[in-house]
Amino acid sequence: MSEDYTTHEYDVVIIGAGGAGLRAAIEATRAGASVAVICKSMLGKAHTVMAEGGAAAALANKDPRDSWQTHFRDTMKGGKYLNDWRMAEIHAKESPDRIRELEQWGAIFDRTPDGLTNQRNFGGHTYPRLAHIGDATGLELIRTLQERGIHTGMEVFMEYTVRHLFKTDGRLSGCFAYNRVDGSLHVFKAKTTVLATGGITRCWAVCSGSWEYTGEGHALAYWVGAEMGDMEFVQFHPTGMIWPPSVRGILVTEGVRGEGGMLTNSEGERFMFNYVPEMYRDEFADTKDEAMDWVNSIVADETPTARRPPELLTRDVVAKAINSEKEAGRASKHGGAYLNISWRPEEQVKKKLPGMYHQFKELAAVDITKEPMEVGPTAHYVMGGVKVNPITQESTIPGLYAAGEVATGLHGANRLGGNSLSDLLTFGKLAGQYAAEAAAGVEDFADIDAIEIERVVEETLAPLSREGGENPAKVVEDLRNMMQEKVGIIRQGHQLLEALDDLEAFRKREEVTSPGGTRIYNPGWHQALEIGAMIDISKMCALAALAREESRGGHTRLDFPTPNHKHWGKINSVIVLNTAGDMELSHVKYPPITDNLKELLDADDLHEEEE
Amino acid sequence: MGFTAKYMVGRHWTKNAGLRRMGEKIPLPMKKGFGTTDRVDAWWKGPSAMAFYLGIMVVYATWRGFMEADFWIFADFGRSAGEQTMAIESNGSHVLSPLFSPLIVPDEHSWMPEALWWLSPAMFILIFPAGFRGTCYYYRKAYYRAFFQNPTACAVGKPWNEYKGETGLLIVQNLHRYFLYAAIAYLPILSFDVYLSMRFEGGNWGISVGTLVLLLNVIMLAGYTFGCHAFRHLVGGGANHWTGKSGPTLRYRMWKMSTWFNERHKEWALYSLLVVMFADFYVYACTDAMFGWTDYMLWGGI
Amino acid sequence: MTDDVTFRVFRGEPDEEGVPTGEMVDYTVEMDEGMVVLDVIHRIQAEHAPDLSCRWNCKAGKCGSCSAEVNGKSRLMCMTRMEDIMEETPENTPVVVKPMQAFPLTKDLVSDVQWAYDLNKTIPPLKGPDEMDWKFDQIEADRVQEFRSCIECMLCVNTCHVMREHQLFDEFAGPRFFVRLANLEMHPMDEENRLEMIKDDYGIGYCNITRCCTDVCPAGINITDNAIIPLKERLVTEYYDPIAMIAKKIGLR
Repeated sequence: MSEDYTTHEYDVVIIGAGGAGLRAAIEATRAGASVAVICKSMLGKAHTVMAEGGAAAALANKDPRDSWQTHFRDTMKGGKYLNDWRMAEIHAKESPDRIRELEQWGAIFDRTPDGLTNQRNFGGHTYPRLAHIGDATGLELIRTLQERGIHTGMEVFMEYTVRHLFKTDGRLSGCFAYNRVDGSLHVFKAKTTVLATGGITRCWAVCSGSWEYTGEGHALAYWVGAEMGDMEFVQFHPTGMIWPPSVRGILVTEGVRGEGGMLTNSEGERFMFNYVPEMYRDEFADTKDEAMDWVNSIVADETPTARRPPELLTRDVVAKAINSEKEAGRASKHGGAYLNISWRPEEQVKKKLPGMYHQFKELAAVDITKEPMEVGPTAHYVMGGVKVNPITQESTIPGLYAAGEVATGLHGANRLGGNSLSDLLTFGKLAGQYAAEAAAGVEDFADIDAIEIERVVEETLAPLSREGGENPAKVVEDLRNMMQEKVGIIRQGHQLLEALDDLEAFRKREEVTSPGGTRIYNPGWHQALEIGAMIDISKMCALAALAREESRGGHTRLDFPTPNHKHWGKINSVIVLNTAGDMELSHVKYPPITDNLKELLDADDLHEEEE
Repeated sequence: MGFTAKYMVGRHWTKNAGLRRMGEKIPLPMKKGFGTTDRVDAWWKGPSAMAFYLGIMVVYATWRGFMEADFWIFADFGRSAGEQTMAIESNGSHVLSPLFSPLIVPDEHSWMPEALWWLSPAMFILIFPAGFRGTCYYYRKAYYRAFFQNPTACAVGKPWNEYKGETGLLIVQNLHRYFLYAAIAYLPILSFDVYLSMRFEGGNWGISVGTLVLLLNVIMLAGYTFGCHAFRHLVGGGANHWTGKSGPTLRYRMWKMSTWFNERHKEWALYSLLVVMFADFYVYACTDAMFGWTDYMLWGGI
Repeated sequence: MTDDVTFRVFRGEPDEEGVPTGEMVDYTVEMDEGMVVLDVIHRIQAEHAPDLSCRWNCKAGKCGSCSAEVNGKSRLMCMTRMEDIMEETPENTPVVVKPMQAFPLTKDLVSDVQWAYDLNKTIPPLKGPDEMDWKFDQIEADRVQEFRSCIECMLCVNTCHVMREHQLFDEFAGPRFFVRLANLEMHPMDEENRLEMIKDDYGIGYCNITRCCTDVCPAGINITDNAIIPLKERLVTEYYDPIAMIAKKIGLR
């Protein structure tokens, strides 16, 4: 062995310290397992901190009409019925308790007048459902879980990147990681492993994700042979900042619209009234007056009787509407739309949306209490990911679990705002619980193939010894621009084909990047290592998008602009690395939904007559 | 380009390039020693101005206090010179300088032992307001910075290597609350002084400029006192529960009120000090022939 | 607006004794409209020095990773606009960027803040009733929510002279953790008492309330007036004010 590495042994190794990872760690330690949490950045800095609006759970504190059944229905409808209904059911039923227990761990959500956890309106949710704290709910979540977690005995390996998962006799046996700070190398042996690595949106030039969102979790699972589902479905959040250029993509919470924010085009028209899809027509206001009635009751803290404003349509609809307005030449000054909350009193805006107020004030020199914001779509979330057992969260590889954004199933073709925070709590908990349970049944740590370790070590150190190649930052920049252009919010067959070719060219460039420097905290080296994962997940996305010849949720094809309920509306894509080493795409159906759950859905949406 | 780091020389500052040699190995923290910092703003302005302001105030108050003492340095100015400058008297009304209120003259008419008769009335009265301000959380910041350089300004090197903060001798700062109790007692006393300035012989009422000065002084001191951190704690901040059966409790409302003043505590602290000194100066100027000021009657008073 | 800017950046690592050692290196890059300091650092990485170490994450002021000293002031690089920096920087001088100097150095602009994680573990967590659905009002939530908005950027600790000049990391918890302790102590449902720890273990007496922490807080938390001083006042009631102590004993308060 040319390079030293340290070997660690833990019952459960959790990769990722965002909401799902920490929630899994809390549950696994509670079950008595020894737990290691490995994360790319420092504890408490994970991408979950960026979540703003809230966590959806049918607590019915704010509107007593709410129930898990309605939440289930909303989630399925928002996901255009491509969701794993079993996960949607578990999520709707269990998320209220996941929120309640957070409060006992120290979370301080905003209160109702009765002193209970307050709930906010969000796109696609029939009732006010999002537990929140101003517009910094993600921070509250991660801090709460962090503070709970550090007292449970989990061990945290901060600023480590996992490069590879090991399989021994078909079962996951551990992972390889390197320490980003000192460049040391580590092998973690684990009885079970939980992937909680979040998403992939850093593959697009305009995104709301941080550098962490390079999708290594998705790639690790794919490389080890797990089935990946729904990779064509990427959510473009309708409201990201668009000006100045350096902040392009930073999220503007949906909470702005939940609090009465209005979208207008360059002509001052509230264009969302023109984009209400058929399936939502009964539920949304068709006049400004009715929309205003709804907002007024929200401001007055009353239960609204009017229908909600069309700004609160699901994210896919709003994002595409802003895009269409731009295509029609009615874009705002810098190519987006105007979002205006300044009609509400200054104090209320500052109280309800303090983060947004500061973000615009400090980054764009815009006072949102006085002038409108400029917003545009930004790559925000990937619905696709590791296919898991809906109850245990185990992937198709025994011993490998996945939870949160890296897993797929709950959100179908489009995620509702607020469902991701409750997703990671609900399924993070289940993943931790079942991973610990399974680990308890495993006698001993499996041996890991030394040759495989050696190969991974070599790959990991390779960029440092390369010379004269490109700066990895440049390759990443070009890749992101390519994805934005060819696999963006609106897709076309020929562009997707081009993208697949381009990705092969990027692979060649990736192989010869040379970051220079040493192993000590070398961002160039780290970036050089990330590109491989980015290329593979970009390819998964393009491949699945090319196959799906329809438009649905987070996947829109200019050449197939309408949904095809009969065929595509019933099947989900699956990608797997086949034995020949190729990316293989197929399509499968979830088991038929049970009758009692089916009754909760809108019969009109199901299009069964077409079968 | 290749990826060995290419260190470029700045285009904008080349004429200063010799000031700091490049490539020299330097340890971090590189800034050790008094006044060293990377800050580019005028960080020394604030503490210097504060030292100047507080210095003048302290010197003035001390001088005025001693002026009325039977003390040899001040014999030519003070009480022994035969003229008192503590209060403007007119037709039975008193505009009493706040530095001397409540007026307890240590002499044969008081309960004071003879050994203390030389004291100025200000000197034992001033202990309380001076103590209140001296232990005030705002003034502590101001003088730790301005006088003790502990620190002079944020991220600026200090002259001291040892530090005990308020754990050593300065643990006495925790007595702030007692001075608060005294300061609260002063408010009715000073209000009474306002009343005295309006009562004239034969039960007549009147308002002079001096009355308004004293009134302003009471208002300023009240604003300063209500925003006191100890006051804010005592009225409601010490509680974690603020909700009663019928909504927010009185303690919450008091806390909220105190919070409003507390957010402007700095301003109340600095301006109220100025007003106290001005009130005293006004009385002094109206009673000392050297200035020749008169306390104008605005209404009544005859 | 395209203009060049010169950054004078600390590059270095700790030597064998752990003393941070390195050099100030100048980089000149082009500047676009609306850039923040972190954008310039990224451009330096992309154009000149891919191995320039810099910790960052959300680039939106929410995670508190990119703390550094820009022109001698502790700030989040992602929330510091170049427009403001150019205004404050004297003409013909470079913008000076250094890591947080109160903490041990990792490399270049990255500091080692492990201390914070170790200290946090020693703080007794929230202890409230077992029943779910706690009831408390927004007015009580408001006060604690201010503390909850802390992003753990550690700028307050870095600028605090107790840490920066005197390195009292073992005796003093620093502003960040007084905010945390205030959060717990003022939580309407908490039943734990941490006052003795605050006095003895966390050394709140070392704070001489000179407010540097409050000045730099990017979350706008009024650390001094709302967290530290109220905690000091609670200690006064517990340890220094006999009247309050007696009142408390006989249940008046």
